[in-house]
Amino acid sequence: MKDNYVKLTFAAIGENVATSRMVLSSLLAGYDLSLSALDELKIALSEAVSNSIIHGYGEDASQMVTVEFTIADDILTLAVIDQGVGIADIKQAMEPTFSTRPEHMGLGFVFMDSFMDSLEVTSTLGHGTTVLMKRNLKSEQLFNADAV
Amino acid sequence: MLNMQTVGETMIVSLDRDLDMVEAKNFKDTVDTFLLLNPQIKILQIDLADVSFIDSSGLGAIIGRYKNISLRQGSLVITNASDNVRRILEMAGLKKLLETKKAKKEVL
Repeated sequence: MKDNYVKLTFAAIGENVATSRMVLSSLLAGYDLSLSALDELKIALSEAVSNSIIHGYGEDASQMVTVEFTIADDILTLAVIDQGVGIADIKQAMEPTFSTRPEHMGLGFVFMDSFMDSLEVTSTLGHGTTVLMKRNLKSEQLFNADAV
Repeated sequence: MLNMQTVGETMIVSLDRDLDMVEAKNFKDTVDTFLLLNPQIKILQIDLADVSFIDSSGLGAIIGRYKNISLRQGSLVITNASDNVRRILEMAGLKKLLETKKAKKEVL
């Protein structure tokens, strides 16, 4: 597949979580991914974008989230960038079941970590957070899982 | 859209959109209001036949409703989840809420 790059900037509203998933799906249309693999990538992106909107910006619709989609040598890189409140303790935030809100399960980072080959979080309090995730689109487990 | 129907003590909620932060909030608000107004409801049946995507916001909304219905000694059951959605529910430890045998979508 051809290398590709898309930069998407959108208002921090919940409806745009689906927008970002749609862009991801259409970028990956040329790859013969299994349904479950595509679902995993969509969940990882959904979690990161939801975190930016909910935690980064407290659902302030005047703020912007940027997602950079890069496909290079069949490696997908997703960078989810906000200029929100930042994360005080990244290690704690990434622990399973850690959540700052009662209805949230603390599964967001667990899913990102499980579904991607690598996950990097950089954050500065008061300045924002960048989540960088990569997954090899050619790796074997992505193929034929649904065909068996 | 969210479709609701009650049969005796059972409330059936059918969802047909991606269960992400937007639909999770809609689901939570609608179900909680309905449960509050209908204390006779003891079984909350969530039909996911038309849901093809769920993330942790959706899972959180289901767990929250499970807690609420449990408070009134009721129960929650998830029906017709697709393989993909089922896999995520199982990963999140919600297997016990899944209907054991995938039922045919009821004609309502």
